[in-house]
Amino acid sequence: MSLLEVEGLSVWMQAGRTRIPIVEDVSYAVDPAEIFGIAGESGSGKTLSVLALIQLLPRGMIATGRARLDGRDLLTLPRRAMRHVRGKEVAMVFQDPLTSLHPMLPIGRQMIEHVRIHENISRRAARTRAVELLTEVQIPDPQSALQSFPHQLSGGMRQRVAIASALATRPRLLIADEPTTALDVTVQAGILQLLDRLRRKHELAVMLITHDLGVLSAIADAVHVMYAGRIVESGRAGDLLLSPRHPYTRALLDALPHADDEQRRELRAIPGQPPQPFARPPGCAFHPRCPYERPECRTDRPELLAVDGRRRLACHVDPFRSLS
Amino acid sequence: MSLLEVRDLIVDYRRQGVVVRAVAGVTLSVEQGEITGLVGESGCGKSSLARAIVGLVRPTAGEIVFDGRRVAPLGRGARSPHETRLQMVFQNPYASLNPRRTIGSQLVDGIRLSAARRRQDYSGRVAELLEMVGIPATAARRFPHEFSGGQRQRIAIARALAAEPKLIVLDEPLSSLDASAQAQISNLLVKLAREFTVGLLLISHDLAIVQSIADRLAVMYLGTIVECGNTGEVWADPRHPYTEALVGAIPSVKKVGRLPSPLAGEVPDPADPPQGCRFHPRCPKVFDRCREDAPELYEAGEERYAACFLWDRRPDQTVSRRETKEVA
Repeated sequence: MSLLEVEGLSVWMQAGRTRIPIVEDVSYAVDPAEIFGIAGESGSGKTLSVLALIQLLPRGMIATGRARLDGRDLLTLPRRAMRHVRGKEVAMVFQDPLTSLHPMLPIGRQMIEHVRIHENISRRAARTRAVELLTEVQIPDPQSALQSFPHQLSGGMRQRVAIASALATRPRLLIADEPTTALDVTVQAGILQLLDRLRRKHELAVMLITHDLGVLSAIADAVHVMYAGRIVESGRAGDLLLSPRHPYTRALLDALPHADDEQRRELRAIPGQPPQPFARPPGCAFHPRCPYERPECRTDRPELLAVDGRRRLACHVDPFRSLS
Repeated sequence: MSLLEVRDLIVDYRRQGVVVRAVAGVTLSVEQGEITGLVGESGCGKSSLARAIVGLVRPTAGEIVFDGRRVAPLGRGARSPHETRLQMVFQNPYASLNPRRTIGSQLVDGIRLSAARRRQDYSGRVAELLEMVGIPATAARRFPHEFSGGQRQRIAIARALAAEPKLIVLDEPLSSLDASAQAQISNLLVKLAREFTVGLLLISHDLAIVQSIADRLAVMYLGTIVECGNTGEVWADPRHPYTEALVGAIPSVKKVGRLPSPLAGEVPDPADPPQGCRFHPRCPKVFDRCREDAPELYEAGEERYAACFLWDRRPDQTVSRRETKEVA
């Protein structure tokens, strides 16, 4: 049974009397202990589609559709009830913990406060939990780490603290938005191993948003590729990354340098720019940049349909069908 | 003679009375028409090295020779025509372009510096520069905010090119961009080196992208170069344990379900670097000598160098080499 079921989620920007869709008609399900990857370029709507789930959209944006966590619809949950879900059942980790941790308070105090907001336990018990969590995320000398301020820790350590803090209330879903993007690869590898261990141990579902397909390949179970506010392809990480079927997924992969390529090749950039939300082309939003474009791509929007197994694809042409 | 030669460069900063040695004796060269990649984790001193090379920070010791002449640190006066042929491109094109001036007028600044000082046809040259980096010539009348990050970075490169540089130092030019924009800029850099024989020093923490375009690669750790050589060879068969760890930590889309291996420990504080080899506290192949002596760059194959005692082939070091084998 799925932990989270999202159906027809759209995010709109209110501009005067009109509404501009930013995220359009996104549906998916997240299972416990699953690492659920969302990939896409900046501006594809990947972050907003997830912020909508916890009612953290920027002012002037609204969400429609349904997002059920245990049968409760997160989108229509009253604000007070949402406060108990957010941070307790659904926790978050962002790209730069320097902005999510308070710079002037020792991290111990922040973690203890976070636990005590959601649970009725003593300061002492909360402190013990904080030490346990810091140990779990492999912070050396957790006792003294509690006294330190965020700026005294390295980027990797700060991200570990942010993860420990997020886990303090034993959430079932962790939303991680580009959690390793600001880190060096050697440190990133440590955070990925940590996330993998945590989901196995605590059955924690992780929604991992990243533009780095290499990261998703290493750790994700499922990958959802977003373009111009829509999911254009999704499937098991291995299937999708090794035999992509949407021309956009293919183009994203071709643009990457492959560390293990024997011969060097020119990187293939995708021509043009991703469209702005208010200037999305009709039909398939990718058609102006697509090498396989056909007349119907300009007028009819392709539906996201199940093609085989767990793969879903939104493409009229499906040019790589025979390859997969 | 190389286009750029850096010899035994040291850069110190003072932080509350404590001297922090950001660059601790670096020797490096860049050839005309070649891309030299410099990689390393954050805090290893690569940006300090870049800034010292173009004269933005004053080195404590060592020499920077560009095209046969020493580079003087930037002062109040205008740079000499010779020094203007050494240009720099910064990480963040949102900060490095002036938001209140048109693209064209910013490019003209650079053109004025170039050899043809009395050039009349500025707008023709602006169009030419924009075309070189793949931006339509109509961009000249527009402002930076009208462009995406990738386009702005190309404009920043065009501005560096306006001065007709022989060498461009690029400090993390790709890290704020999406994969597709990274690919576009990477291809542009290769074109600059090949077609316009500009020498490029490409500084980045992203080993995968540097690996895909650099001809030669230098790996930096805590202020020193630990390995350098031909990019393909360094990548395929790293000689220094740090390079090995760095390569092993990169996730690849082709290795589905395989978690990359982290490197134990943290980068030490450059104000208090470890004794002996600076990498020894984190090195999986550490042995006694590493804790006491600092290795120099030893020859580790043809045109390859590694600052690791495992490659010290001098005859009097047979003892430690034997120990090494046992450890390895």
